[in-house]
Amino acid sequence: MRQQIAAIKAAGYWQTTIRPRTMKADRITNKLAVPGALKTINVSLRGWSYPHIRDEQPIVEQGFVGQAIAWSYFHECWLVTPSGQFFHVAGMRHDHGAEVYASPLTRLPQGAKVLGIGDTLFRMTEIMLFGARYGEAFAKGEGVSVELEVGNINGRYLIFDDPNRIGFEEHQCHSETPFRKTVSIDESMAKADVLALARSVSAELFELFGCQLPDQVLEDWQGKFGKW
Amino acid sequence: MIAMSNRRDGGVVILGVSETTSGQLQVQGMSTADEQSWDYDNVAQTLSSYAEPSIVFRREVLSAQGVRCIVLSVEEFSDFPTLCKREHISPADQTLNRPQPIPVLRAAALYVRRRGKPESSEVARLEDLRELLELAVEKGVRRHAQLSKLAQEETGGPSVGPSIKDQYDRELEGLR
Repeated sequence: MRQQIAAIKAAGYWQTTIRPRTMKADRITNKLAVPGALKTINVSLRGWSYPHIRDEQPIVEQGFVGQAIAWSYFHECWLVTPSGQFFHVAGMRHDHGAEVYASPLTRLPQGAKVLGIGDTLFRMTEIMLFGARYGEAFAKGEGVSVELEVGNINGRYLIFDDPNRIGFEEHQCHSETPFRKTVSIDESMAKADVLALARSVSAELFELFGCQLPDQVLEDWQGKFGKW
Repeated sequence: MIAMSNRRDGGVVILGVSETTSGQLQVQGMSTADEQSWDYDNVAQTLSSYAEPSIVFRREVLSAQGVRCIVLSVEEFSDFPTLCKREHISPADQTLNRPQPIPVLRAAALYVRRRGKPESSEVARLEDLRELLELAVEKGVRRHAQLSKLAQEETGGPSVGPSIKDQYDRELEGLR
């Protein structure tokens, strides 16, 4: 698992750590039941669920239970520790061969690394919705913190990956450090608030590319998820 | 719109309404082409090229007396007052090639709606600045309270631990 995680983080990656607000060292009493439990709460917005749980035996070690996945351009690892801490790292799919769908006016240098606005919104929405469900399932009444890290973004171009939207300016990231953000999710939060959280974190990430998109534009974009 | 975002409760811009010489408002409506040029995405992108941080607004189309008008409802700024981030010179001035055209918008300027007069201008009076600062401080205090709560959660708070964060970090040592 360590080697797979290191390989994923050698290119662009999304890393999520979800932690129950109360530390209980032996919160998880049956590691083998974890994959099944995650499968009932994972988020499916676009065909590949988050987190993706394979129908095969998980890796079980003293410190965690988890899976490593490498199929097509999906390279990811997830694990849950005995305290119920959830960790997930996924490679940015365009770095692993996924086709880039950019708006018609986009002009990119040969071999440019990209980050899609829609892809980011999807990812953050998946993470936040899953965070809320994870808290409900594994840390009821406590709430969770969600730590995000988006790495290897320096030099990457932000693209409008929706053929119905056009970006007029070039947006490139010049941050040598990963984007990091920690948020809290409580059970009292309505779904609309969780979606708003996804948008606000996405907007902060876009600012590293010099791109400021109003919340209404992101909300309109997010509102189309699942309605294609 | 920049000035309205710096006002408590924001403001409203109505397109398709004109004012007669006697000061009365007349609903004239907008052509289809004009209405389309004021679509949400166009307005949002243009605003974001002049305003820092972004302005939050809603766009509605109202029909009245057989014609259509566009209503832009501007919200007050959420965290920091809105500044104008770049200069804008009127196209008319550019066409006339004046030696020193006067910009309509000035870079780094702070615009407000003046009290008692329905116009937008750079902050020039103490009362306008005081009101804006009061609003900014209110929002700053609220943000500080939220950040303090979050910081407490990250470190486990004063009542927990050697921090919960350290315990969680040890679990993932060598993995991330």
